[in-house]
Amino acid sequence: MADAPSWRQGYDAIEREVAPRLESLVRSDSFAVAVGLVARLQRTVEGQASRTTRRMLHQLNLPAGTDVARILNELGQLRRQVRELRDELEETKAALTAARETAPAGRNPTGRTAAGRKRSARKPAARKTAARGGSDGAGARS
Amino acid sequence: MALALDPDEIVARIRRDTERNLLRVRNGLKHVAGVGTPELSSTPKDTVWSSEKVQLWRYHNDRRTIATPLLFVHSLVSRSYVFDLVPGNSFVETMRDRGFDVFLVDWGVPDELEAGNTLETYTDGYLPDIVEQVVTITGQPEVNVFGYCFGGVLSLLSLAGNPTMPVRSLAVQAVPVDYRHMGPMASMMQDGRVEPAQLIDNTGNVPADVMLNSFRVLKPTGDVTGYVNLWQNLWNDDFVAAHQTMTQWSRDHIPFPGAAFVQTGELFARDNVMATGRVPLGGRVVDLADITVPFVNIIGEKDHIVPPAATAPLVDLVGSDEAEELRFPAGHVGLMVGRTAQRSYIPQMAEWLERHSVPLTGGRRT
Repeated sequence: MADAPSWRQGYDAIEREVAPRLESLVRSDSFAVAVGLVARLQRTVEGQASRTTRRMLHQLNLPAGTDVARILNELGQLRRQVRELRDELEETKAALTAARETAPAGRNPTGRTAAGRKRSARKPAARKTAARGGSDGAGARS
Repeated sequence: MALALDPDEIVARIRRDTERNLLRVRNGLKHVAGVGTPELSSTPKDTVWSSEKVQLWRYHNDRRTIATPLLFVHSLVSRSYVFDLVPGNSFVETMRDRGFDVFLVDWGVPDELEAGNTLETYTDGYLPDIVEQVVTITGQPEVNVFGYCFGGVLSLLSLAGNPTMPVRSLAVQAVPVDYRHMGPMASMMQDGRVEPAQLIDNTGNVPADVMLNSFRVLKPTGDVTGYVNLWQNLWNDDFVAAHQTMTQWSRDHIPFPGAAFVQTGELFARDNVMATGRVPLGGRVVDLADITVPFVNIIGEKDHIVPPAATAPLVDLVGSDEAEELRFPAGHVGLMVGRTAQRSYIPQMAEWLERHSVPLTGGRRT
């Protein structure tokens, strides 16, 4: 850039020299080894600190952060299972509806009672409510 | 070398430098104090569907000319407001003004509850539901899907694994496919020096700063150069505003759901299965060749996060008869942010999407 001030031209010249060396450094084996070691060390230190504080809190009969995290992880797992069950139910319902539509008139391929069919037909509304109600308002950035 | 010193020119230069330095002081103080940051993501919208932290937004548009809705799918590593930065520099706003009915998926910020979310949670769970919701809300039979970065990976796997999804066309931008070209973090996982599970914290997710640092090492002098650029242009209000916006977004990473990260590390980075087009997912093999809708891969030739070599194989992996590439001399974000994107790249993307959409006829507005 011809208009660039001299200090900028100086920076660009240095950057041109330094950047490729730094880039090759972060792609080098030694950098990878260092990152691996740091990650392991950090994990060990954090694990040790976490175990120590957990022991102390448990002795006072208080839950530790890891207990809360574990419960939330399990809750998340439960939520995923509910979602999978809901999807399976919907698929089954769709298959039954399709079978009912293709079956000859007067024959009930599902073997269900009329009351059962009515309950099934109300399902989507319940799902929509659940989906909306499940929102936790995480879109604070909107 | 003799220099011609024109006194008028010297006075003009001194005056200009003085003015600029005063502006630098003013803008510098504003920048440090965080004053005057532009309002982000301000295009009017409604949340039309949500499930747990996932939200589907629909942008207001009373000048719609295109019937087929356009669904933006964002990545899992950063905030979705990059699609709608500020007025005049917003992908969403531009597409809305071109007549599209624009939807955007915001995945929210994962915490312990999302730690167990796998890739299938997104590709076989949320995305098919979201596409179905868009169809229900708009009354249109099909949706155009546009996936950005890892959002493109999710879109590809979702459509390939669920080929009956009502998708009219698929556009993906800056999508990592061949992880041999994906930089140091991917290399470390390929070599087994870093196990994906090692990066997970006690919430069960990969912390946001790990994600941020993995991008920082791709361009080690990037931060310093950013500050040097800022200093040089600190007198320029527009530059400072754009810098604040982009700096804020580029540092505003979010945690990556742990289970999905382990899969990404093992399947994509270590085994490089995306590059083969066949991804074991959800108890079956998802084959990208099962994508048969019109497809476009948008590539930034200066993208240092997803270099062209990392994404170029995609066009040969999908099964679409109409599969093409759009290449632009832009970086990862410059593909959709900034003046050149607004002037040149986005219009070309919009033209491709318009060609694969149904125009709105009869003035029916949903």
